[in-house]
Amino acid sequence: MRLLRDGILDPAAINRLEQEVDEEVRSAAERVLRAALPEVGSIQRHVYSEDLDPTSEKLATPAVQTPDAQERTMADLINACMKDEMQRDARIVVFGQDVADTSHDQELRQGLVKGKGGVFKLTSGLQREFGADRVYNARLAEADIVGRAIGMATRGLKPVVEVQFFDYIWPAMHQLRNELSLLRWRSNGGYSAPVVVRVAIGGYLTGGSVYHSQCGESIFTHTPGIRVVFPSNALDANGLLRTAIRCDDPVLFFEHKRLYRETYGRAAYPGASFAIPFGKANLVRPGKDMTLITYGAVVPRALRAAQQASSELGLEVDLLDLRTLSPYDWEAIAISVKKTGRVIVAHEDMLSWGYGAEIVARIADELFEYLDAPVKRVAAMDTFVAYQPILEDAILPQPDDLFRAMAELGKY
Amino acid sequence: MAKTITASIEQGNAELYAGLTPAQLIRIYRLMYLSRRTDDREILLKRQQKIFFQVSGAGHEALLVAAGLALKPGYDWFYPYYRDRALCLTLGNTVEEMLLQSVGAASDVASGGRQMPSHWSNPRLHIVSQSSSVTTQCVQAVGCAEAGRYLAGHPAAAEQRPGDYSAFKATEFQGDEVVYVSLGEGATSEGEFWEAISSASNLRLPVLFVVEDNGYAISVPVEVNTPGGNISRLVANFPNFFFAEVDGTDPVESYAAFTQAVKHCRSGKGPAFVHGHVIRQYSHSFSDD
Repeated sequence: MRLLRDGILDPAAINRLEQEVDEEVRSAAERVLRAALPEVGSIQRHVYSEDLDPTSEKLATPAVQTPDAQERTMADLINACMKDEMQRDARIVVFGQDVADTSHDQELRQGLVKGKGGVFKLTSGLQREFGADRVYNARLAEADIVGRAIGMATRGLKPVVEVQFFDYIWPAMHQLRNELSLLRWRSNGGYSAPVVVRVAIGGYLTGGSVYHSQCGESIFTHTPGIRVVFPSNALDANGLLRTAIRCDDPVLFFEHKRLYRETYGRAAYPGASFAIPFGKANLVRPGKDMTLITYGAVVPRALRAAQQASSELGLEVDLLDLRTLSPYDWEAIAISVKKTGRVIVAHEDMLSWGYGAEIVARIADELFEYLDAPVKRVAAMDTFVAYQPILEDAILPQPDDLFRAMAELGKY
Repeated sequence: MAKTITASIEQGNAELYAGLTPAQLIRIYRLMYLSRRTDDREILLKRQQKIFFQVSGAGHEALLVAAGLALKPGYDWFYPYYRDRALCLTLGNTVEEMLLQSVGAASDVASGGRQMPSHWSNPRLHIVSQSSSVTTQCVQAVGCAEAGRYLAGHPAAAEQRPGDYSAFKATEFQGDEVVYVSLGEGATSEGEFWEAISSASNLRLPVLFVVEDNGYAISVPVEVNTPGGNISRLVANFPNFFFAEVDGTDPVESYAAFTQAVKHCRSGKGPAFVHGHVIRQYSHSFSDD
């Protein structure tokens, strides 16, 4: 009792102080017991931003013709979007493993090194243009990458960070699910962290094997508070990444590594403002007989199967590319199902408890009267992807699997 | 003897109380007592089933009030954990605000009734919303400090554009703000603690790590969690850090350490690590015995 020992306060003064405090606490308790409770109707507030709706039509901005008319890959147009956005917005910082051109910035300036810019070169040239304090390598620690991004975004910055492979997102899972997705809702809107996490995802790599081929998007669509985007082509990737960067919610931006440099889905550079709102599917090909709902690398495979179904069976498949998984375009699904009455939901991820299970359940519930047949799913086997290509080919859904499903459903 | 010491106090003898005046010592006591009595009141309310959870900061008060006095609310940033009641009171959270969270009231400034009591959050004071997960606040505190440095070096980042997220997020920085983050000694077992101090060390960030060592993680004693039983000995070789290990039940010793730690951080030399030995006077939470 230093105050007593050193003669700063005598026992009477201490008693008075303590009584004052006791009274402060007691009366505060009394007041709060009369405080109004939250309304049940407020529960959904602040799951996502109440200020900016990334599904809004107002965000849609058309592509413009530029002098650069050459067809570009998905990797190119993602890189172009990042460049354009970083020029526009000084708050964007980019970090992750290997995303810098080099951690020795001097060597870059002296022309001694080419520059890496990511294991798939998605961030190539960004450090060169914007500097080492805006584009830099992080330590080999995914939780650190995502967690620091959360802290930065809380202060108003826009971190666009990278998780090198979806297969290694798991160390960051705690930060993604318990922190990033939840911060706004748990603070009742007091804090938020609109971070973009870019992740290379998926297989069909011929030797990618267990730990470079994973999908698992349903785990994140099942986490309220985070948006999940999964484009299938270069133009969509560019326009959706723009929306992801400009929006006020955390976004998981899944980039299918097999699609990075495919011939399918290339497009000319659409200009620096091209944007696609979330929750808007793309009708890849129209058809009256059957609906196929999919996304990502299954889109080109489903298109091949649909073309085969048309020419060999006279079956016209209405092919919907969801593009964003959370939110997703229920309206487009309903329009299609009401038109065709037959549905296949297809995805690369494993069948059981996958993304398709949710869509199918909702179709069976809300569009039951429009169905002429059971709703089917085509997806990977319930195993991880094996190294030996003949095994991978059997595990992952192929155009043949999709064609067979279309044929069978057509006969029901 | 007492007369001599009192005279010294009146002369403002800096060494005796690490620069604290008698009025500040009284304030320290008041805040410690206020924290304890708030815990006691919550325990009473829990017994009456008027609140639904209780986790106390009893035994940690001295260290935390000292920290609060060495830092600036609304200027510095704070990532506390659930035993940091005394810190939050020192920074300016009121007892009423805390109890509103305990009863789950609509006007609860921290969470609108969505989080348990002692899950501090107060935007006005720069206390960032906490989860129940231990240690996850550490890497976030690092990012918060990085942002402060970035904003100071990039004035263009203050721009707000209509139609995108920046319209709703004003930025602010001071140039020398410190980010406080605290955790219990058991929580230093989590990998993210090591990720955070590594990044803070490498990047020389002004993050003040405070380990509140009460010897127990629920029922698990410190030597099971920490090899050698003392976290300070393990982290001692991280570059760029200011280190202090103190008796966290002595507010003056704690305050002396914090003022030095904060000075180190504000000067841009790097992060700081204050390891305070405290006691966990009550159980882990009301659900523990």
